[in-house]
Amino acid sequence: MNAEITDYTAFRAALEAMDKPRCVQLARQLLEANAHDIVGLYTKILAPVLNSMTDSESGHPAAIWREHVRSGIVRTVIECCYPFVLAERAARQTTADKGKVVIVSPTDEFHELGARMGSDFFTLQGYEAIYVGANTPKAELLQGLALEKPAYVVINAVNFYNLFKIKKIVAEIKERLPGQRILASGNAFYHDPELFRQIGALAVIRTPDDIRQLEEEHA
Amino acid sequence: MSVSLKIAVRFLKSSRGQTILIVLGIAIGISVQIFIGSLIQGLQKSLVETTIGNASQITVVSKADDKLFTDADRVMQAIRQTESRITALSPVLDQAGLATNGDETGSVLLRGLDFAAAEQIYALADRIVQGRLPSAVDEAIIGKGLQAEWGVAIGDALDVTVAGGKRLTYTICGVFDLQVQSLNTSWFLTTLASAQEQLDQAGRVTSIEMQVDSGDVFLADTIAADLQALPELKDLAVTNWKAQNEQLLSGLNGQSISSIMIQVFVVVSVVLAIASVLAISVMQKSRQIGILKAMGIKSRQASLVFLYQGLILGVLGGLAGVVLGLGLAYSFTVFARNPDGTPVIALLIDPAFFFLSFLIAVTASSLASLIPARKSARLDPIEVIRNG
Amino acid sequence: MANAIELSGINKIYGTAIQTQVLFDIDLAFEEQSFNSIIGQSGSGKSTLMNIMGTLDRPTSGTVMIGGIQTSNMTKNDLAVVRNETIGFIFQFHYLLPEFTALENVLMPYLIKHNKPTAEVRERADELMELVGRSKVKNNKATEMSGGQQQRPALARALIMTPRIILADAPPGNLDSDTTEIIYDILRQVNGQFKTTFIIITHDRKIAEKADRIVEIRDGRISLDVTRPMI
Repeated sequence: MNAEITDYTAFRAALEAMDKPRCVQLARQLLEANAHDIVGLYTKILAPVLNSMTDSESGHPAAIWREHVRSGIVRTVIECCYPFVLAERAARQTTADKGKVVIVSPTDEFHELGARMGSDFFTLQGYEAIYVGANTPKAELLQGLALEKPAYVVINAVNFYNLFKIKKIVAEIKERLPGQRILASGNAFYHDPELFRQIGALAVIRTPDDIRQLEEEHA
Repeated sequence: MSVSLKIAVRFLKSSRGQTILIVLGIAIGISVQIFIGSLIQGLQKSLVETTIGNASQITVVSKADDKLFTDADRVMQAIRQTESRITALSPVLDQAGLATNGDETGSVLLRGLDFAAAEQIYALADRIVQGRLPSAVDEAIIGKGLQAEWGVAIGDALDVTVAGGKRLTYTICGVFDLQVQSLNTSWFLTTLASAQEQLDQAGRVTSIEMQVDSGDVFLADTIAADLQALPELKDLAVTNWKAQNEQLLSGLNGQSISSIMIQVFVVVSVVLAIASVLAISVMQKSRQIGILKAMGIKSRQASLVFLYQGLILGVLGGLAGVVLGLGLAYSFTVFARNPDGTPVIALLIDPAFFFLSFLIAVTASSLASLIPARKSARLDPIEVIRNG
Repeated sequence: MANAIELSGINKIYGTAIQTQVLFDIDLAFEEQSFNSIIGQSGSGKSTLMNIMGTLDRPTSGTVMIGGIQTSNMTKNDLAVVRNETIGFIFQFHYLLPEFTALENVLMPYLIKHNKPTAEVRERADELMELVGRSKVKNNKATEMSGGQQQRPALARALIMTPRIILADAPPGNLDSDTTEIIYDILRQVNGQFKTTFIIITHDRKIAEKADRIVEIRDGRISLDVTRPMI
């Protein structure tokens, strides 16, 4: 526990200072030293640090600027972790044979770090994660799905207003691509356990455990 | 000030042009109504005045064959005591006769008048065009018609032969003009005392002539009937001008009715005009009424907005109408004049009639605003909100 | 927290010969002091819903409770009182009375109830004009103001009776987004300061996503009803 708290504090300090090299270095050190695995790094350090900072800084005149810079840094950290993701998957002796998973956010949804982390969770679980990213137009999404025929599509939303859009997208996917399994993720869903059902998704994904549970239920 | 009144005033102010037009419309209508009313009333008054203003309106005559009666003083006292509406009482001794002036002869009515009493009926003092009123027993005055016909001069003597062949001689001391041709050529006036003495009829008269209060002229018939009932008059007959002027009366009546009809139609058109303008104004203001209702104005308050508008328009229009009517009447009397400078028609400026017209304007426009008021009360705010 | 407005089983059918159903079995309640928005395409029935919530329109069936009081059996006059005292409206097209100045418009709901303004309420009207940032134009006639300028006095007017509920219909999307945002900040401030319940009907995403709860109406039904996640 103590080690975890120290790691958290160190990373927070670096991110607060917007020290990008230090952040990347810290993350790599933690993974190399096996102090954390990918999931641990993402869920216990990166996400909490980022959220805590967004909270404490609201009201700062340059809050959005600073949030964007820090998000950029965290994004770099995540990208730098990709070799470790692959290594971890290899160590688990799983291969990408469970099919494709498309991770996507609708138009006007610009928060994507959560979705990006989630795509790594799918990779670790043995899926070929196709991360499409933020602000994806509906038509593109439908076309892509028709082409890729993924096992799952994960639609991500942080801004709760996008739920209305997602509901429409889900309805359209179901109409155009019957049988396509649709998952929901993102902060907009987590406070209300019924929301994913209301927008028509099969389940809501927050942690790697949710992915495993999904496999059990829909095997 | 209630919120409805405040809104009404603001609505009227904000569409100033429209308000001025309505007020002007009411004013013109009311002024025409006032003008026509005053004109007809003035016309009738002057007509009645010409006809009976200088004539006996109620006359007591004898039923006896000789047409004479003796107790004139007692009868006059009884009349005075019972009837306060009588303004003039004048005993008269009449005798038809034949006047001669040299070769010329003409029938005349020899009338013995109590000039002091008769003055109130005939206003002879003002109507003497030459000379003076008679005072001595052998003095008389004649009309200007007879004077012109015979070329009589003041101081000339004329003979009058009365029934029974009695020949009387009078010195002409004055000439009168009663503005009625027949009277100007036939009346031969002397004092009552003179007539009674010369005709040997001491203490006797042939009639008592009366006038009533000017406001009661048209009640002459009922007053006459009242007088007839007096015990002192039981052997006498009472006649009145209305019984003798039926044609005039029906003419006046017809005139009054047509005048009232005109006035009614003018007022009706004013009412219709106000009602239609206010109805349009409800449409124009429906947005405002709708939003006021959304803000919680009650239907009663909403209808009051339009009732107040009607009332205000009525008061303004009525006042302007009275002023305009007065102006019209005034300019008519000032500019429409006879060559001698008298007005063609003397309009009757009656404050009570003007006030009545004002009240009509106010009442009419208030009534006219009832329909828009009802519309406003019924207006559903949702119609306005929904349709933008 | 108690409900400021509670709708249950609301149906609305227009027309007699040709019937058009606009709302279908709507059950919807808004908590006191909450800040909500209702979204939906034009023709979705959201404006009808607002009019029913504001007692301007009556549902064909179903009940409307305002502040816990049933409104179905109220007379027109009772409803007028409810609107006057409990609900502040901000309409889509501003709807200031053009015959009156901005300040007089703000005072109007008070005048409807009391006929005469007191010194206190005048002061309050001035403060509200200050709050909405329009004290400089308070003596201008509404006709002398642009649509956007009318919006803030309209807000002050909605607030003059300290209503429990403010119903706002689409503060227009045709304004530039800065103005919209300022208005929004004012609404939020009022919500915090006066504990007023806000229900805002809009197509504008920028407005809707600031609410704590968004209800989407689609084809006369509630298609989605979501609350803002607590971070």
